[in-house]
Amino acid sequence: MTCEPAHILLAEDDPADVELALSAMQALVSTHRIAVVNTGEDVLDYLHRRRGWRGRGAGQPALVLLDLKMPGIGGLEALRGIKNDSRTRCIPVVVFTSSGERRDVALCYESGVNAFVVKPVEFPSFAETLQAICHFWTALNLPPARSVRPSR
Amino acid sequence: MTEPPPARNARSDELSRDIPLPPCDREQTSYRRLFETSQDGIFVLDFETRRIVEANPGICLLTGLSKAHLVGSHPEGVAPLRGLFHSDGTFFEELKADPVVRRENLTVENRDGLRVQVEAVCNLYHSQGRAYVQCNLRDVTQHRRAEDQVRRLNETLEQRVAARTCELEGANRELEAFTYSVSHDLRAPLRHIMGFVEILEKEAADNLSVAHRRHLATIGGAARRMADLIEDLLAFSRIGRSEMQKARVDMLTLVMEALEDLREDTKNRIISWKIHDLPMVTVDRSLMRQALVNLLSNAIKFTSTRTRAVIEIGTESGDSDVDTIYIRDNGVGFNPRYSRKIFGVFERLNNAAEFEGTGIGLANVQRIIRRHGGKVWALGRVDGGATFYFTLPRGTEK
Repeated sequence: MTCEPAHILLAEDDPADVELALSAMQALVSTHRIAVVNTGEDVLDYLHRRRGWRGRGAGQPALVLLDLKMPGIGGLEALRGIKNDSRTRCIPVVVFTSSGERRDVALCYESGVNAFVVKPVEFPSFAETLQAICHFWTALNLPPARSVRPSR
Repeated sequence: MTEPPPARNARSDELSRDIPLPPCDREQTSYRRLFETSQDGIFVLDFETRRIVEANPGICLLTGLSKAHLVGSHPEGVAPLRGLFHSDGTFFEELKADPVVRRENLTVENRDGLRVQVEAVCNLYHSQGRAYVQCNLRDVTQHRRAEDQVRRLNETLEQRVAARTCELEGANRELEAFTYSVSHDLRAPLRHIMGFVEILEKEAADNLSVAHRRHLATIGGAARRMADLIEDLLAFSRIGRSEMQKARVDMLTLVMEALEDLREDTKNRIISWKIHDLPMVTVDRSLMRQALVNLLSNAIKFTSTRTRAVIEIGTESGDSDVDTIYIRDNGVGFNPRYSRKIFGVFERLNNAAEFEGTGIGLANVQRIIRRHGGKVWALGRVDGGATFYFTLPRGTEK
């Protein structure tokens, strides 16, 4: 597991935002495996290796970066799906979204989010923020060991 | 005694013709005049016989009966006055105990057969060894009707105010939600503009002409300005939606905190601060601090062209119900014609090139002060400095 590259799942529906995020994370690409999905359903399918992700690489991401406004089931429902399932509950989820509305923040924390970060509008701070999040959750934060994960 | 009002006069004349004035003593003239011209209906009963011995034109008008008809009869026997006195005789018993008896909510039938609401004041007096009761009847129908109307209007007024308030609150909420979602949804495309401008500047600048690089910088600058506007709009919409949490705080502490927030703005500036004694106030701490930051940053901004800026903060004494606080500067001031306009959203009196700003700061101030039940106004002259005043109600706990 130690030789495995740090693994980040980016859930973002807006192609421009995906491109900006990947551009901001350029420095991480060599050391990180970054997967991108575009809907809340895809987040859950990815984590549970369903449909298009049956054959994806092993292991769960060290971090799920979740946009709130997405088509289909949105970020909040995806978050609940992750946190209400013992198989995925321990995966760190950071909501990274445009809105810092108090209600959204409260709902996300009630649903078990690990952190809530508002996307800065200006690109330099956007990039800085994104790098800081990825650095914290993949390099500083100690993820739960795989053996701890309860089996079902 | 002045002449009775003309409208009444005509009717009195008419009555006077029907009922000639009785002869009276000179001493009694003024009493008689009062009796004859009173708008109240007055009659006098003989206490023993309980018959009417005197009736004025007012009572004739009220009952529609002539004096001849009234005098000599028992009030109970006169249809309009029937019910005025309880036939059980308590009325006369009461008079014996207390020579003045008042009766309210009485009903008499007037000459058109309509029921008229009256109030009666009756008093027992003695004259030449005999007891008499003088009864004054006042028609209060109009009065009552007016009272009812006022009451009904008040009731419906409350309902109307409640309904209107409800509508307004709804409209406000909608507007705020709209502001919020517009601001929020505008941020994403703005982030894209700024992000890709940045990427272009970083990665393609070498292939661009000077003019094209300048265009890119213009796009970036415009987007940043728009971002500022959106941030301010969001803050503005937040003020209206946030719940107030009032506490007793020292205004001076709030001013100091606001100045701390503005440290960047005062860097490399020579400002002479005059901060007077400030009161304890009951406010939402973070909202009031925001209002002060806006007011003080304006004072700092609009004195930036002065070699020696003077900013003064103090209170005006006078009103006991409110604290009046002012912030005075010796900056560029404004045309007093626009002293109301400056509190509007996005209103700016100075051009953007000279003084940065989105024009929402004072709208925020007004909103915050109004939410506290206070008022805000400004005095100023072109190139003669500006003074912003605001009031806060005193002793309003929670």
